Amino acid sequence: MAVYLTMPQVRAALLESGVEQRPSTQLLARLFIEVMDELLGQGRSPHWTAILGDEDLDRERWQQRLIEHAYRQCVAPRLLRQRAALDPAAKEVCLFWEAVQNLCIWSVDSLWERYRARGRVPEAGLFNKIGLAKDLELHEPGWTDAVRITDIREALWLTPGAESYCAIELCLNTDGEGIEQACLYRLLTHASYPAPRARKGMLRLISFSPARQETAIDIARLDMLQRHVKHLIGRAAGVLPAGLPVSVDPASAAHNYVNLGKMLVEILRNYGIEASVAGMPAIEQGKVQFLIELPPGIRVTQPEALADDIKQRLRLKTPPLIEHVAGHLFVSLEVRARPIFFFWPTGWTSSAK
Amino acid sequence: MSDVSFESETRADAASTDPRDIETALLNLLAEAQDPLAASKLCGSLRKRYGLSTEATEALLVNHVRLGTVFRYAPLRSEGFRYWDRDRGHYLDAIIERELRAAALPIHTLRGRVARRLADASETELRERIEGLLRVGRLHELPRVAGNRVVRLSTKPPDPKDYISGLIQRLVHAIEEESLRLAAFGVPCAATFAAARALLERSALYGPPAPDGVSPHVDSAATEQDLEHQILEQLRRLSADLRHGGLVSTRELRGTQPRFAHEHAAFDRALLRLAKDGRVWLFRHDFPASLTESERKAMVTDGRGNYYNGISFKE
Amino acid sequence: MDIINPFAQSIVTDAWQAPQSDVPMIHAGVFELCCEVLEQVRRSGGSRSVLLHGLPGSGKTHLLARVRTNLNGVPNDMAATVPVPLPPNVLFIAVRLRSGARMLCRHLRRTLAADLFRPTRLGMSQLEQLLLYRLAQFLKDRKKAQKWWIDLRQPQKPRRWWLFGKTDEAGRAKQEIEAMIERLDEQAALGRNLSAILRHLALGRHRRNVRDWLHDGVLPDGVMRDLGLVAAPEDEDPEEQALDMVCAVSRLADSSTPLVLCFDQVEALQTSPDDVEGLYAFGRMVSSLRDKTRNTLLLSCVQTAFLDKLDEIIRGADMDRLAEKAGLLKPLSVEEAKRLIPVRLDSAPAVAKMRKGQSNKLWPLKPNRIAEFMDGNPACTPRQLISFCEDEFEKWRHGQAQPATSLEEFLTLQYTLEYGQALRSSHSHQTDETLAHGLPLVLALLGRGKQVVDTGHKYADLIFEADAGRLYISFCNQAGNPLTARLAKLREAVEQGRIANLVVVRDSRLAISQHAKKAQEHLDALTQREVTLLRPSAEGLAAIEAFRSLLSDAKAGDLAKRGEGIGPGAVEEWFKAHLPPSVADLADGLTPERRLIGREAIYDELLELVQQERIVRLDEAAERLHRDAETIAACVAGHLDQFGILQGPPLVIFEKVAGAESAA
Repeated sequence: MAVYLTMPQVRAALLESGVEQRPSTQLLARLFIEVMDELLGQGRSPHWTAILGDEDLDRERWQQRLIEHAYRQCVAPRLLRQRAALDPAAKEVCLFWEAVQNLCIWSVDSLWERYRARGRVPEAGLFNKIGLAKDLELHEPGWTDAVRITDIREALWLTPGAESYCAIELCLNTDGEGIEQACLYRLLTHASYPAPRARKGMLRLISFSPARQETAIDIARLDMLQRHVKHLIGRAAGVLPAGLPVSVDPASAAHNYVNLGKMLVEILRNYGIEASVAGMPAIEQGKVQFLIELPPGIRVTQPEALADDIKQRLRLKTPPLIEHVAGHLFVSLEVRARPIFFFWPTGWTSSAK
Repeated sequence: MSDVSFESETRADAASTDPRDIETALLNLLAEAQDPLAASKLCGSLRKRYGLSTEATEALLVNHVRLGTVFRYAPLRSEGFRYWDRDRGHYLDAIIERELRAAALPIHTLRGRVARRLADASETELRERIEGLLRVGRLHELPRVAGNRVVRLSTKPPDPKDYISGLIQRLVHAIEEESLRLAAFGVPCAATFAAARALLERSALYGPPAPDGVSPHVDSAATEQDLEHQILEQLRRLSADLRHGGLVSTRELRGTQPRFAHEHAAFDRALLRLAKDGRVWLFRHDFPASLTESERKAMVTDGRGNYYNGISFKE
Repeated sequence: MDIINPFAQSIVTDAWQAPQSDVPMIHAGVFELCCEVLEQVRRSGGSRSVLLHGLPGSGKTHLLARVRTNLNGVPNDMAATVPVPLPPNVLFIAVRLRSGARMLCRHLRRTLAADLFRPTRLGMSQLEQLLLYRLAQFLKDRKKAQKWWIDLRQPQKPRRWWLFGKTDEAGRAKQEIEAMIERLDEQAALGRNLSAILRHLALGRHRRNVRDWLHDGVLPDGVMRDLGLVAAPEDEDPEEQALDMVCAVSRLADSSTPLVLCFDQVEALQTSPDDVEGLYAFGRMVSSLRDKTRNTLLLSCVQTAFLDKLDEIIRGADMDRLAEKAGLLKPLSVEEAKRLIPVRLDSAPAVAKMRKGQSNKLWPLKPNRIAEFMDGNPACTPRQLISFCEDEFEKWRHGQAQPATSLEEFLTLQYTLEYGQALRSSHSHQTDETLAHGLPLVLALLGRGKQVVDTGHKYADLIFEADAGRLYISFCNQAGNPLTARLAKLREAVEQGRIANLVVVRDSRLAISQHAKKAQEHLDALTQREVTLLRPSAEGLAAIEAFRSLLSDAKAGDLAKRGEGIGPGAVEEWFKAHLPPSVADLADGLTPERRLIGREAIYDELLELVQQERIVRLDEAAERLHRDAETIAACVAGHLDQFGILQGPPLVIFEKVAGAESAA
C-alpha cells in the first residue's frame, strides 16, 4: 500500500525548511489555478472571446473588462465559498487579487499582440492547456514503499505566439528563480508522458507574486535534479531507508568520486560553510553530481565565485553547475574534466593552484 | 530549441493486463447487471479479454466488498456467492417492483417471490422497503375489491375499471332482464334501452340535470341530430369571416338562436358530441375559477369541471 | 450510452430558442399566413399585424421560433471572413411582455436593442449587417463598403512615409463612412443621436457604449460627451422617446428588411384580473407602431381564452390594428401526432440509432397507447402529447414513469431555478423594470395596496392606494446629471406639497458618487422631509424577478406540470406562503411605521471605493475615506449583502457579487 501525499504537501517539502506553508496559502494557489482555467477558456464561465467580443478594440478596455469579469465570475464566488478558510490569510488574499489582475493584464497583452500581428480579433483556442497526470505514483529503488501523489491540478500552457509550453503559478511567499517549481513540472511531465521526450529546450515558468515574473530554465538542468526531487519527496513520505538515500553498488563508478566530494566539502569550508556530502554521487549524462547538505539557514549567495573557485582548484575545463534547491546544494562536474585528486585523511591542501 | 515534443506525446495505451482496466471492466459489468451475479458468471465475460480465472475474479470482488464498493449476496442454488454494486435495499426494491409490475399481488405472495431471489430477507426488512416505496409513490396499495379482504400492492395506481366493471355488468344484466319482462307487455326492448340511457344521462355520472327537464322519449335521437345540424350551420356562418382565425366564442354561438339558450344542457351535450365525433374542436378555458358565474354560464361545460369558451371546425 | 428522454422538454420558452424538433405540418396554415402577410409588408410598403392564439401548450412560441428560423436561419459560428453586404432577411425581435404599463415602450426598446445584437448566420449582428448593407447602397462598388468595414477593424499600424505619398487607408475609410452615415440620416430621418451611434458602430468603436445607449437611451455624462450625444430634454416623455427610437430603427431597415416584432405573453400585462392599464397601453403601442412605421410585421400571441378580455379592454380601433389577421393554432390531429412523435424520438441520437430497422414507427412507444390517449383527449395540444410520451418513454426505459411531484415541490423547484437565474444575471440597469412590473404584483398579493393610474405625477413611477393613503414611488437609479435632475424635481414637488408619502428607490448596488454633491444635497433635503430612501438588495430584486417571471409564465399558459397548466392563483398562493425575507423587508420598507428615514452617506462612499478596488484593507479604506476604522467596520457590518469581510488580520473588505454564492 502506497504512502499518499497531496500536491501541496509535496510543494511544501520542496521549499526550504523553515518556510511555513499555511493551508490558506495553498488554497490560494489552487484557487489561482481555477481562476486561470476559467479565464483562459477551460471552465464553465463564458470564454474570454465572448467577454471581449463586443468590447472596443482597445487594449485598456479589454484589460478592464477582463478584470471585471475575473472578479465577478471567478474570484468573488470563490471568496464567498472559501471565506472561512481564507480568513487568516486576508493579506495574502489582497496579493492574490493583485496577481489575478496581473494575470488578466498579461493575458490581454498576449491577445492584443496577436490581434496586431494577425489583424483580426483573436479566435478561441489560443491558450492551450495540456493537462498533467491527476495523480502520480513514484517508486524509487531502495524506498520502503511507493509514494502516491494526489490532488495534482498543475498543467502546462501554450500561450499565443510562444513556441514552448510554460507553467503559470501563483507564488506569494517564495523567492528565487523558481527552480523547485520548475523541477516539479518536469517530474509531472515525465509521469504524464513517459514516451521519449526532448532533452533540450527551455521550460518557461511564469509566476505571479503578485507581479509577473518570467523565467526560462534549461530542461537539461531540470532533468539533472529529478533524482533529488524524488529524494525529497521520498523523505517527506518517510519511505527512505535508514542510511543512504540510494543504495549504490560500492563497486560502481560513483565510488570513484567519493574523494572528490570531500574536496568539495573542503572548498566550502573555505567559504565558512560547514557542509557535508549526502549519499553517493550520481553520474548522469556525462556529469557527476554531488548533493551537499547545508547547515540550516545557510544559503550560498555567491554561486558564481564558488564555481570559479572549484574550477580552478579541481583543474576543471568548465565551471561546475551549482544549484541551490530546498536547502541543498547540487554541484555537477563534467566527468571529462575529471581532475587529478589526492587522497588525504584530513587537512587536505590544494595542489591545484 | 523549443520543447514542442509535448504536442505529439500522448499517453501510452495501458496494457490490457492493467489491473485498473480489469477492475473498471468488472465494475461496469456489475453496474449493467439487473441482479447480483456469481463470480463464475462475471468471469465468463472477463476471461476472454483479460484471461482472468474465477478465483482471481472472486479475489477482486472480495477486495471491493472490503472497500464497500461492491456488496455480497447469499448464493442461489450452488453457484456461490453473488455480487452487485448496489446494496441490499436497492436489490429488495428492484425485486419488489419487478414482481408487482407484472401483476398486483397480495403481500404474502410477494414475500414468497422475494424469498426466491433473496432467501434471507426478513419480514421486517420487506415491510420497511414496501413502506418506503409506498411513501415515494413507486408502489400503490390497491383498495380491496368487494368481497375480498386481501390487500394487494401494485406499481400502478388503482384503475377504477377493476372496481366497477362487475357492477356495470350486473346492471346491464338487470336491465336486459327487465327489458324482456316489459317486452311481454308490448314495450320494445329498444325503448327500454333508450329509457335507460336517458336516465343515466340525467344522473350524476353526466353532470347536473337539465333545467328544461326534457323528458326522454323515443325521438330524442332525432332531436339531438337536428340540434347538431343547427349548431354546425350557425358555426359555419360565423366562422366564414375568419375573425380570430375561424374561432367562434360559445357565447356568440349560443346567442344566434333562442333554442341554444333555452336548451342549455342539450346545447352543451350536442357540442360535446360533435367534439367527440371529431367534427369540431372545443377550446378549454384553463382557469375557470378566475371567471365570474355569468362568464362560466356562457361557456360549455361537461359537468366534470371543464369549461369551453371557443369552438372551431376541425378541418 | 446514456439515453436522454427526447420528450423531457415540452415548453419553448422564447422565440430565440431553437426548437428541439419541428414538424412543418403542424400549424402549417398559420405559418403560411404569417409568411404571406410578411410578403405583403415587403411589397406594399405598409405595416401589418397578425394575432396568433390557441390553447396553452398549442405551440405559439414554438411557431414564432419556426418563423425566426425560416426567416433568419441559424447563426453560423464559422462565418465567412469577408461578409458580402447582404441585408438581413428580417430584423427579428421577440418581446415577452413582462412589463409595467408605464414602461412598456422602454421594455420594447431594451428588447429591441438586445435582439439587434444577436448574431446572424453571417456572424455579424443583425444591426451591423443591416448597417453595412445600407451604407453599401450608396456605392457603385458595394464591396468597397465591406473593405472599409474590415480596414477600420484592423489594428492601427505606424504611419510610413512613402516616396509617393501613400494615403492612410483607415483614415479615408473613416471619412467615407461618416459621409454615408450623414446621407443615411437625411434619407431615413434617424435623428442626431441615432446617427452618432451608428457612426460609432460603423467605425468599430465604443461598441459597449453603443449597446448601452440603444438599450436605455442614457449614458454617463462624460461618455455622452465623448460619443457626441445630446441628453434628451427633461420634459420629454421617456416612453415617447423609446417608441421614436423603435420607429427610427424601422426606417433604417426599410422595405428590403422588414422589422418583425413578436409580442408574447400578453396576459402578463395584467397585474390583477381587473387591471386594464397594461392591456390598454399595449393596444395603444401596437396601434402607434402600425401607424408610424411602413415595414413592420406585428405578431401578437395570446391564449384563446384571453381573446374576450382583449376585445373588452383594448379600444376597438386599436384592436383592429392589432389583429388585422388572426391565426388560430388548433389542437393536434391524430395524423399530426403520428408525425410529431417519430420526429421527437429521432432528435435523440441514441434513440434514433436504436430505432433503425424497427417496423413500428413509434417505437419504443406503443401505438395502441397513443391511440388510447388521443381518444381520451379530443382537443390534445402538443404539450399534452409530449408530456404523455415522456411518461411512456420512462416506462419503457425504467419500467415506470417518474414519480409524480406535488405542486408544492414543482413550484419550489421552478422558483429556485428562476431565482438562481435572476441572481446570476442580475444587473442594476434592470431594477426599474423589475420593480415597475413586480412591485404591484407583490403588494397586491400581500394586500398592501392597489396600483392606481394618475398621469399628473410625472416623476412617480408607481402610485398605490393603501390604507394609509396614497403612496408614491419614484425610481432613482440614474447616475450623474439625470439623477440630480430627477431628485431636484422630486424635491420641488415635495416642497410644494404636490406629493406626500413619497418613497425614493435606489438599487443598493448603485453608489451615489462622492462627487455628486448636488444629488446628495437634494436627497438629504428629501429625507429631512420624511421621504423614505429604500435601497432594495440584489437578493430582494432577484426574488421579485423570479416571482414575476413565474407568474407571467403561469398567466400565459407557459407553466405546466406533466402537460397540465398551472394557474396564476396557485403561483400566488405558493409565493405568499413562502415569501422570501428580502421581499418581506422590501414591502415593509414601504409601510409608514416600518420605514427607515435618512441617507447613510458612509455607505455610498464605501460602496464606491469597494466597487472600484474590489478587495481593500479596512485601514486603507479608512484612510482614503477620511473616516475612522470603527465607523467603516460598523457600516460593513450593517450591509453584509454588499460587503464581505475577511478577519485577517488585517481586516479586509471585498465586494460581494449577487449570485456569486451559487456560481462556480
